[in-house]
Amino acid sequence: MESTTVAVNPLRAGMRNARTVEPCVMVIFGATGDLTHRKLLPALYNLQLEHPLPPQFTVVGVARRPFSNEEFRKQALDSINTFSRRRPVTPRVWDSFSKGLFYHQSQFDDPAGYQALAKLLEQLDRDRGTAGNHIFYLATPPSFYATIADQLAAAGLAQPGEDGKGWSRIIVEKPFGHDLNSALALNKELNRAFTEQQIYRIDHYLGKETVQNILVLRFGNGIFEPIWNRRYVDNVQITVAESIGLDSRGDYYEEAGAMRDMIQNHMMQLLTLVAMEPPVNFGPNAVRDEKVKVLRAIPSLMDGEIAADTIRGQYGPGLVAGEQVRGYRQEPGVDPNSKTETYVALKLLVENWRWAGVPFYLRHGKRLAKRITEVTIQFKRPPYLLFRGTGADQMQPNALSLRIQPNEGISLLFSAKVPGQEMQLRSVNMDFLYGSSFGVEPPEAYERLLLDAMLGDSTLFTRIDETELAWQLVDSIESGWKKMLSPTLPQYEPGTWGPKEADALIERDGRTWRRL
Amino acid sequence: MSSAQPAIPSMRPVDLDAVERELDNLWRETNTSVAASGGNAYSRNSVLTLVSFLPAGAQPDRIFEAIHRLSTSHPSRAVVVVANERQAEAGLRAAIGTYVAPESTCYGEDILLEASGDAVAHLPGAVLPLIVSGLPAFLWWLGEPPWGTALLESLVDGVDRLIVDTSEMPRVERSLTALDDLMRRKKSRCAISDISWTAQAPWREITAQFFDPANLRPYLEQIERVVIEFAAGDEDAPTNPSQAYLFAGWLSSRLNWQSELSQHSPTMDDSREHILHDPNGRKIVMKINARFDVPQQSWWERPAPAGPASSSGHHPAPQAATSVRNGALMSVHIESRAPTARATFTVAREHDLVHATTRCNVPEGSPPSQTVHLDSIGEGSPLGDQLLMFGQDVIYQAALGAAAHFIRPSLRRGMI
Repeated sequence: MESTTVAVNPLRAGMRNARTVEPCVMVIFGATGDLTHRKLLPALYNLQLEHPLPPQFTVVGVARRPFSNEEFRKQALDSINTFSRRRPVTPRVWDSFSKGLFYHQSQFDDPAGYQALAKLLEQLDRDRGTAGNHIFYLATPPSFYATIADQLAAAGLAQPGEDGKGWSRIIVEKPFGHDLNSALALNKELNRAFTEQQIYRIDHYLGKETVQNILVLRFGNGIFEPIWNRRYVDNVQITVAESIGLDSRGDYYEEAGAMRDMIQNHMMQLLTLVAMEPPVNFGPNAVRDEKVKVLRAIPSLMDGEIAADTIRGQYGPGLVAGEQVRGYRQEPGVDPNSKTETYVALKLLVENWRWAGVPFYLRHGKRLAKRITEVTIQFKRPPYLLFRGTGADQMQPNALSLRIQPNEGISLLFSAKVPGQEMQLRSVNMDFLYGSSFGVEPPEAYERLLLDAMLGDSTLFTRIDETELAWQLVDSIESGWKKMLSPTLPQYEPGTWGPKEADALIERDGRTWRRL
Repeated sequence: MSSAQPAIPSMRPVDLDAVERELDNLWRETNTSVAASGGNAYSRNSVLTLVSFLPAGAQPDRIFEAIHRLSTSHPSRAVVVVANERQAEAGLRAAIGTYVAPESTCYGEDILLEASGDAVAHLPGAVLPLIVSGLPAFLWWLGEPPWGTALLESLVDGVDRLIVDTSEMPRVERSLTALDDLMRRKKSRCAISDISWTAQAPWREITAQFFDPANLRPYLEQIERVVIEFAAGDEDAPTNPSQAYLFAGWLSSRLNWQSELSQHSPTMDDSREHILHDPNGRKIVMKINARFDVPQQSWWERPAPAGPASSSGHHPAPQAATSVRNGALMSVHIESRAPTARATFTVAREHDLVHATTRCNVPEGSPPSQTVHLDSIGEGSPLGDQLLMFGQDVIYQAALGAAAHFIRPSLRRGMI
């Protein structure tokens, strides 16, 4: 119908799902891979079940293997029944959802395959009413990103959506490059086909409810921001500890190491969310502008500082929970003489008005004592110890801990009087546990991120300048490590909190790692 | 205070002025026994107070069960009040209990207040001190509230939200207008909402979805006929068109339709027909029809919808339902005139009663039909959704106002 008098849908006002997804097709490259079957298809089904997506929503899986639509649908059903948090499927909803699942066989570098894909999308746009709106999800190794983007552009599938004929977006997974130069090169290659506004770089940490809650805690409450600065904060500690080892990713990890695998992306995201200034609104650019300012305020480490402010380690063989575990160098796919770090601790500064002089200590490692991700804001001691001789001087200073996983929640450590005639003090925790206050199962990170990409909301995706600045910092450290005359890579016992040198890094400043 | 056994024998009778102290003791006792058995301590947690007011004869244990089912997402201090004004002897007694949400350490507390005779009028003085300070407080009134009484007014003034369920009220047309009056008076103090409204949220969502694509939106201005069907039992039994009226009120308030004429044929098919006109003067026929012989139950008597996954992440597969809520929507059919043809937009509940399927026929090419699981998108948790709401729901207020506007002329003419 041609009339255009109704600009917005008046029935949407006040609805829980006030943001609406336009009819679109999601094309998943790497449709037979692990990510698609473990995460993407279950997330899309969950969205369909609980949101729901528009009836026109369509998925096209693209991969090299020869499958029919029916075979792809059967595999998708198996995956969803295995990995969805809403398993098993609801048969009637699945029937409805699966009618929108299609498979397209193609090599990723075959122009004819893209021409055929373009025809298929044209037909689906016509038959299912998807209006030329296409999202391309690259669930492939990064080495294919540029090829796929170029081929999509050559097939006329990268339209920015300015001509009213539908839009295209592209979602890429981490890692986005392996250093600054490769990230810049990759971005240049993607930009040949897609503008920055069309590119959605996924860091699935940002899809986690508890990570988003950092922003709510800080900017949705009135009591935290006034003390969230150098005047009251002594230091910030960010820990991402994993208890497992490599999990069969030896080849990848040998190239990446802990620094590229975790610090450059997830941990820098956590740091920016903790340190950023309040954005002017919750729009994509306002939030990311503030995150970028934080990254700009972190000075690259000079060569002389690298040895003092960064610690690497590698887990050796040992016993965990009574069971023998391999050392890193004995893992499949790992060089027996590997110099790749599985542990990193570092001290960073954010040199701006808010954080000048407040160290940010980051640590991440594999095969550590337990799996835990936590951000701790360690506050300064009271300016004057009124309760001398009561143990007050031995008390831990106030600390606000944001537990990202597991046992998601927030706890505040403070001192309290022990009941009795004497003035005795003890540290106590005031805990808020998500599991107790909101026992509902949160949506998977991918559900939120896929929905946001469909909505065209890139707030929780990484912008190119964030990526570049994070790589710049990581490159400076990697480069410093390479220049070290006698680089040390201490081995640490599996099941511990990492090398002793990491303790020394923080103890040198008169502080300790928070006991987790 | 009466020393008789509380209505729920497993609860511990306590003096009314000792409720808080006894709850503290109960929590300590529970955690002591948990610690002794090597389990994890329970954290005492409330994010709200939910006061439920039951008419005489209602079973408080069923209400506690319903509240406990919500506990994973809304851990609350649950205060259930059973009032029996007709009993001659005045009495007020209290009992306390606890619950732990499945597969969690979330520990909540239950308080049962039983009032009889003249003591019922004094219930606000017993209930309001039990509301947890600083947290949102909700008053859930089961059945028809005593409109205009001091009891209702005092309790409403002490909470943040009054929740009613017009689909459980016997004279729904009168109730909708009384509710509209109460809302207008209490607007600045207490928000008011209706489970009948939240239970039909999925229907509004799906209906709105028809008109999300920009090319289909102009059909909203060309609607000529709307037919809303609601569930009814035997043809002889009274029907409850509350959900249907609220849906009709929503459509007309969102699209600025004005009511012109109402007709009701209670003896033949219990159909109601309203003539409306849009801002351009176009006529719209709104029909509200009962679909008889649909098994119905109060929602808290129906089996719980699929809850959170077990620790293995496994949800039970949804089964066909044996009943729907009283007056649940069964279908919505919208007809719109395109320049050359008629466009139709239909949502219809499936025979299994738990799914609904959409069908859209438009001249420019119909989008695929879609089947949704109604419980998964909100029909199964209407009370839980109420507890997420804070402040006034202006869309509901407008819908209720419009629904009351439909009904008032009929009420004045004594048609219903």
